[in-house]
Amino acid sequence: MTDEMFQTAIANLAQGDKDSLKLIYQAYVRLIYAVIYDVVGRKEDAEDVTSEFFIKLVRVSKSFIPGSPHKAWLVKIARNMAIDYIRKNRREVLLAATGDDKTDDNVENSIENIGADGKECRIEDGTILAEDMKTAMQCLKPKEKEVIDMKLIGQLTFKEIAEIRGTPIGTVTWLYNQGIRKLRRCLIEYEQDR
Amino acid sequence: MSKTDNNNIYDINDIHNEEELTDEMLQAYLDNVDVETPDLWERIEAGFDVEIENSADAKKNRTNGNTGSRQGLRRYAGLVAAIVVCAIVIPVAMLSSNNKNTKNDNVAYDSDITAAQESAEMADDIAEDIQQADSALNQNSVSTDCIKADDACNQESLTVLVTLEYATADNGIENVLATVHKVISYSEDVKLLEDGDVITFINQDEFEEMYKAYNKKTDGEYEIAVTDVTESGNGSYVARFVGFQ
Repeated sequence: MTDEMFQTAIANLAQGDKDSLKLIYQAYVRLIYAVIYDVVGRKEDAEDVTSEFFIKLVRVSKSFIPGSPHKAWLVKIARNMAIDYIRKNRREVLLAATGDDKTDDNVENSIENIGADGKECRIEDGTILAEDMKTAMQCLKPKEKEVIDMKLIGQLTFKEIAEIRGTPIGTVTWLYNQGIRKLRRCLIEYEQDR
Repeated sequence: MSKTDNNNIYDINDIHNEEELTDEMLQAYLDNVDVETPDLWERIEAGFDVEIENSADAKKNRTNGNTGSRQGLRRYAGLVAAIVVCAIVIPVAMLSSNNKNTKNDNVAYDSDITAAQESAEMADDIAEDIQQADSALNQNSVSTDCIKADDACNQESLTVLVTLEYATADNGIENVLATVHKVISYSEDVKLLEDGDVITFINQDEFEEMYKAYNKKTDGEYEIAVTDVTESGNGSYVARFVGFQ
C-alpha cells in the first residue's frame, strides 16, 4: 500500500468506513501480527493484541499526519500495544520468555558447531523447503526476528527500525545480519540432514 | 541496500554491510509468515462495530451528565455525611433552644460540644470509607511499573501539565486530546514534549475509567503521567495514559 493509498484509507477510517479498515488490514496484518508476536511471544496473545490493534486503529486514525511514513507509524503503535500487553500480563510472559531464552541458547550452541563454508551455495541454488524455513526461523532470537520481520515484511529502513526500537542503528544492523547468517546456517544444516 | 517504498532511490540509511538474502530465501521467509498469520478479520469486524457503538454510548452518557458509578458513590457519600451532620446538630440545637429556660447555659454548651464531636467523628468515618474506596480503586488501576529484565519494555514516563478536550470525529467517536502546557518531570531518555503538543491516548478506555473515578472536568489543567510516547508528526503524539498525578 502506497503512502497515498494509506492516507486515503486512514482518512476514511476516521469517518467510520469499515471497508477502509479492511484494506489496511489486508495490507498489513502479517506485518502487524509478526511485530506483535515478536514481542508477546505467544500465538494466542498475538492474535488478541493484533485484533485489538486494528479495532483501536479507528481511535488513533486522526493522529496520523499525512505525509509521514505510515508503516513506521503503524509498527510503533502495534509494538507499544504489545509492550503494554506484556506489562499487564507480566507473570505469564516472563515464564514464557525464560523458556524462549533456553531454547535460543540451545539452538545457538548447535549453530555454532556448524562451519560456514561454500555449502551455502547449495542452499541458494536449491529449493528451500517451507518446513526448513519454518524451523530455521525458530533459530532466531526474538530481537533478531523482530528486526528481520520489520525489514523483510515491513520493508522499513534500518533508521526507522532503530527509531521504533529506541536502539542505535548499529545494533539494528548487527541484529539483522546476525539473524540472516543464522537463518542461512540453519538451512544448510537441514539441507545436510536430508 | 534496499529501496525505499515511494521511489527507486537506495536509502542511504541502509548502507551497513547488509547481509544478502537470496530471492528464494526471501520468498520462503515471506511464505512462511503468510502461513503463520491467522485470519482475524471476523473478530476485528465484530470488535469494530462494538467500538463504534460504545463510543456513541459514552458520548451520550457524558452528555447526560452520567459520569459513572464511582462518581455516584462519592456524591452519595457526601450527601449521607451532610444528612448525618444535620440530623444530629439541628435537633440538638433545637433541644438546646427549647430547654434554655430550664437548663443552665453550661449544660447546653456541653451538649453542643458532644454533638459536634459525634458528628465530626461520623464525618471522619465516612471520609475514611471514601479513602479506602479510593485506595481499592487505585489498586485496580493502570500499573505504572515495568519488567526491568525485559529490554523490550521501555521504562519511559513523563509527567506533564495538560488541558483535556474531547474531539468528536465525523463517525461520532470521541477522542481525548491532551494539550501539553508544561513538562513537570520525566525519566531518562524519554521523548520530551513541548508546549502545544497534543497527545492522543492509545488506552483511552483506561483513561475514561480514571477520569470518571476522579470526577475530573475537562475545563481544568491536570498533571498526568504518560508513557510509550510515539510521535505521529507535527506536534501530535500517541501515548499510553498512566494516571492522574
